[in-house]
Amino acid sequence: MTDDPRGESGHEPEEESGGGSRVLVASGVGKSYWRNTVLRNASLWVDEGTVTALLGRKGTGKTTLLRIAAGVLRPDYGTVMFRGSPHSHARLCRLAREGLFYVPDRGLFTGSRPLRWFLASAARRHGAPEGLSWRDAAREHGVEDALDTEARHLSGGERRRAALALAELRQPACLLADEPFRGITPSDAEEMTATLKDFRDRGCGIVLTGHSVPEIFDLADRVIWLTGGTTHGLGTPGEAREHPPFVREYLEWASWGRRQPR
Amino acid sequence: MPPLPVVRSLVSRSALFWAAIRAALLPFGVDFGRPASAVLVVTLVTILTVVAMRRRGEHLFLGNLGVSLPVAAAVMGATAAALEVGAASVGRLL
Repeated sequence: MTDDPRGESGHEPEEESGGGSRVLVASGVGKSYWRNTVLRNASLWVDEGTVTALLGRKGTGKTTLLRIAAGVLRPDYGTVMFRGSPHSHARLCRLAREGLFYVPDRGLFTGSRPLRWFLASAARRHGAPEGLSWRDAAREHGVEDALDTEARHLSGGERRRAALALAELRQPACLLADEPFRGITPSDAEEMTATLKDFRDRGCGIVLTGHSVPEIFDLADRVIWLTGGTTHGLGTPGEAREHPPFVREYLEWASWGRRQPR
Repeated sequence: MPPLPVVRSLVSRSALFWAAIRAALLPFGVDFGRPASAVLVVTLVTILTVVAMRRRGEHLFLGNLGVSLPVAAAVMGATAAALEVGAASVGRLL
């Protein structure tokens, strides 16, 4: 039995005001794996046309919270609200039909099928946006040369660019990306930043996780810090840098990690 | 309904699992034409194909397309059921 600590240290998403209307809210979320409580009354929210960075040390539950918000994982308690509609048992397929796109850390492109199969399937399912074929999307995101590559042989950078090409075909209202900057080259990171800015400028609400602080802070409009299983809205990246516990417990840890040889 | 390439992939995988399970059950005397054995085989095919999909994370791709796992499972179960009916019909003709 898991304790439900709602009301102890809950952070109300409504306290923070964003630019556009709120596209996704996961509020008061709790999750335990066996006896290990990962999330306690955690919240995540993003507005249209803004980028929310969900930051925290490894193993603090960022992926779990993102998976719950995406409807991949069922929380022990808490609700997910997408485009104004509450989803007590949110499921990815249902949220995707309403405009959500989830880019997992791994697992979107698997097996021996070529990349073209994934893009063509997505285009057939929803019909590519006007004037954009799946080949155009592949070209735009630099994976045209990898169209015949088996999914399991795609490199990290190709996977992430292919995921964005897939998202391009879906034109999502909300994009959840788990560690999009992990394992990619600096030039890929630059392209990724430009693409995500383009999505944001078209009104897409984006949630990012990861530890590439410079890239993420360059993109983010709002920072949410996940520590001890609960979330803390820190405001803009500039305001987050002025938050001593965040600087001490996260930023110094993240910058130390970047200096280590890989 | 899933897009055509996805349906084709689900059907071919289901057929492969059906053949493998049927071959594996032959030594145990589970033959064609009996409703109980057909239900067993269809159930096994459906469960094993869904487990394989989840292990490989394919449900995330399908989910992003708006296709739920139960729909994919239904397509694979229906394929196995059709193969059972087909095999039983051939058996009766022979």
